Amino acid sequence: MSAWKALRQDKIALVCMVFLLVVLAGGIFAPLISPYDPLAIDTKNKLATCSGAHWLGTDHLGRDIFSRLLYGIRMTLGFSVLTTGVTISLGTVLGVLAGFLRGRVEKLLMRLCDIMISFPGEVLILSLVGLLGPSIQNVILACILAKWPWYTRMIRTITQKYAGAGYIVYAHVVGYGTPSILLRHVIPNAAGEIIVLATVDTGAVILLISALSFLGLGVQPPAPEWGAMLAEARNVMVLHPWQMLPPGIAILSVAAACNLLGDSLRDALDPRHRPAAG
Amino acid sequence: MDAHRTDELLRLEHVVITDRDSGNVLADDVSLSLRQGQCLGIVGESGSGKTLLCRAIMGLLPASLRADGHIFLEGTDMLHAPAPLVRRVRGLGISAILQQAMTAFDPLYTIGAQLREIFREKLSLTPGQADMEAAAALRGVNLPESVLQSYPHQLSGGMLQRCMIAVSLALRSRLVIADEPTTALDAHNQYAVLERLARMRRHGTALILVSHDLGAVQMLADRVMVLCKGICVEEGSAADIFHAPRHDYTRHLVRTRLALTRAFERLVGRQA
Amino acid sequence: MGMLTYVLSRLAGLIPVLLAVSFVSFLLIQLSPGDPAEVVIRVNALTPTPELLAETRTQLGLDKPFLARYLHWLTHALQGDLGTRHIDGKPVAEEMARALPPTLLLAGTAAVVILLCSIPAALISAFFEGSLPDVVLRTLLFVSTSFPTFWAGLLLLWLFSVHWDLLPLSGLEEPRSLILPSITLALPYISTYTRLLRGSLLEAKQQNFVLYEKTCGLRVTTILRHIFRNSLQTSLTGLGMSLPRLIAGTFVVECLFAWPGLGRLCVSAIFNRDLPVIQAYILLMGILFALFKAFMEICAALADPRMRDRGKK
Repeated sequence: MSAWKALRQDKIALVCMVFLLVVLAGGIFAPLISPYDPLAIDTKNKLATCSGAHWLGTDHLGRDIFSRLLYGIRMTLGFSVLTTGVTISLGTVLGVLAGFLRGRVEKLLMRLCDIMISFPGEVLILSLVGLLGPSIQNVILACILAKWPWYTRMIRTITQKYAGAGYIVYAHVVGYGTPSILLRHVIPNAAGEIIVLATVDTGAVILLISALSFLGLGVQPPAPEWGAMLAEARNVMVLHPWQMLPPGIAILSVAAACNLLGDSLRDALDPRHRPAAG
Repeated sequence: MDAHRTDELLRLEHVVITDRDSGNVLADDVSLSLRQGQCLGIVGESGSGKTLLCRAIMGLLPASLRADGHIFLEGTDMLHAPAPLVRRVRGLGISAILQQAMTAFDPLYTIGAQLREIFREKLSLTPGQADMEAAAALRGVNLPESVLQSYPHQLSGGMLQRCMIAVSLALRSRLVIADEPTTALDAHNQYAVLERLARMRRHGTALILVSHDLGAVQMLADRVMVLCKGICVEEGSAADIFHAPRHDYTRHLVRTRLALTRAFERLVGRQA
Repeated sequence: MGMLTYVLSRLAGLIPVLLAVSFVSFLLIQLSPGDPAEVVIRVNALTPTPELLAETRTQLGLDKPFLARYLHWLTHALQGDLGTRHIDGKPVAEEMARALPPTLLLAGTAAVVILLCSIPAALISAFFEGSLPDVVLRTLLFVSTSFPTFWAGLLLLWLFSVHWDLLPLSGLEEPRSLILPSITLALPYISTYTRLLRGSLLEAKQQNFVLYEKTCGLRVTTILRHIFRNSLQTSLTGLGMSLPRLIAGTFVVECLFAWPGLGRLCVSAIFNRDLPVIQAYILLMGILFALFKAFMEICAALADPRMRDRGKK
């Protein structure tokens, strides 16, 4: 496929992909790799600097920062991927429904989307967390509730575009039922745009989840979430400022990799962005 | 530098235009010379390099293209002279009438404001003088003064085309390049625009008329250059080109356009 | 005259949107888990007995049907009565009114910072496309999109307030307090608007009228003014739409810098389970968002002669 070829030639995209895969693997195999228990308190060794024993030092309770970062992948990246995944599934189902069924279902869904979108996303998420109470489950739920309308609208547009396409009409004529048409044609065609939006959105959700955890609204201490780690680092900021670096750099690099990869994917999948020669 | 003939206005010497990326040659070794008050018609199908050649003459080729050779306009090399110098030649020495009249003016300003701006800058006028000049310029092309207060989208393509002619007239440019001035217009406006261009010639302005409409070229030009894929295949007096074309491509052009030309002449004859 | 009808019809179109916003704000609170009466009792450190619950419910009007409660709430809201805080019984509207100006000040300053940074950045990047400054700027801007706001704020705070001791740590006591929060808030938006403006500048640069102005030999600055004015036309709405998003996004920055604004009010209300405050926050933000959107559309229409004429027909 030419999109895949274009992507393979894009060095930045490759680097991002490899980086994200390594990070993901780090999260999955955290119990095998991490040298310490991320929750093990060692008050004799608190706020240690980098050393052979503690690669990134220890925090104010003497917990190994490297181990906490590794386990943090499961929280920050894991929850973001989970959120985006559920949002996409929900958005796809509703969007395809709206695009194919038309009529009253579509009108109702789209009206609902319009109302949801008329609120700024941050406000919606913050208030939903407020209503449900501060916890990571509620943050994820709030993110899904706030973001599904965007996906639904996008998928509906794509579905309608393809629903009118010759081969879908043909498939209908030949006698394929709607579900098999959806599976065979619409979803593969929409996949490109979904992947692009999902990649960029994962980056945004990482920032959001860590921001809310930083404020104490998401993952609760002592769980090793990157935003929550920054909140703890903040308390010792005056005397031990380097404590702010590992979690911050972790969030920045993962979010940047998602954004860069999303950009490259868009270029690769959209022929208009692809360089003419090649 | 050669000694210029006293009445020579424009001279192209071995102009080659190439695409920087692909290396494609878009205009190959074009040379020509134009005297004051002369009208040169450039004909050829779309993609033959007509428009690029005109933009090269004005020193306005897109950055992705490279031009070699020399283009002297009243002694200024439009390809190699410093940008401010070339900019000063544009307007007074050479001006243009663009094909897409509907988009040739800034949609956010009135025609009056844009004409004023051009006249103030190029003719060093005070705002009051520029106002009067703008009104006079529009009268000269038979447009009502209310056009000054109009925005471009409120006018027709033909009216905007005449606004550009008014600018060229008011600036008293020695050379006017009209790139397909009539293609986007209906028959009536085509006639009006060609008639203005003819009158402009009578005032002593040299004209380069780019068109694939041979009727228009026949009406105005005294010399014709035929471009085919960036190469000048034939050049000579209008009479020779139209009545005794030597090159196959020219013959093809003349034959295919003959029917159209006749219809056009009938219309022009009736209107005049 | 035509414009006036356009403005009026646009404003009339706001009414259903505002009603929808108010309905959603009301609905969300109704859907929240837990009995509001119980929350009120617990917040006031009382034991919820069945009698007390019933009494509080009547007091809060919870025994009436849904629509009646909505209308009751709406009429009060229209008169500026948004209920009282559970935590101390103070009127919510008053607290909101106190917190709104600092938030608007912060968002407004951030908007100015965004404009001051993104306009020159976009100009450089659009007119020196592919040059070294363009590449450096684009890389910097790209990194800033992925920068977590709170981390950027922390780093700035540490550098300027702790390490160099130049600026106040938190709160809003003096004009200098504004510097760090507004820069932190502006940071992620600068790149978005530079990109937006750059794109529209590049588009405007390709317009036919720019070519015509060049053939007339107009000064570079004159042509640039026309390009800029036209590109602003398209990015104006986008810039305007950023203002309510900016206001909405203040909560992280406000908490970080202990800024006495709406966002911090709402976050502390979340910790206290103070639902009327959260409800008022949703309502206010929804209204601001709708108003700004309408305002920017009207501004864009006023600035574009083509749109003005469309209104006439």
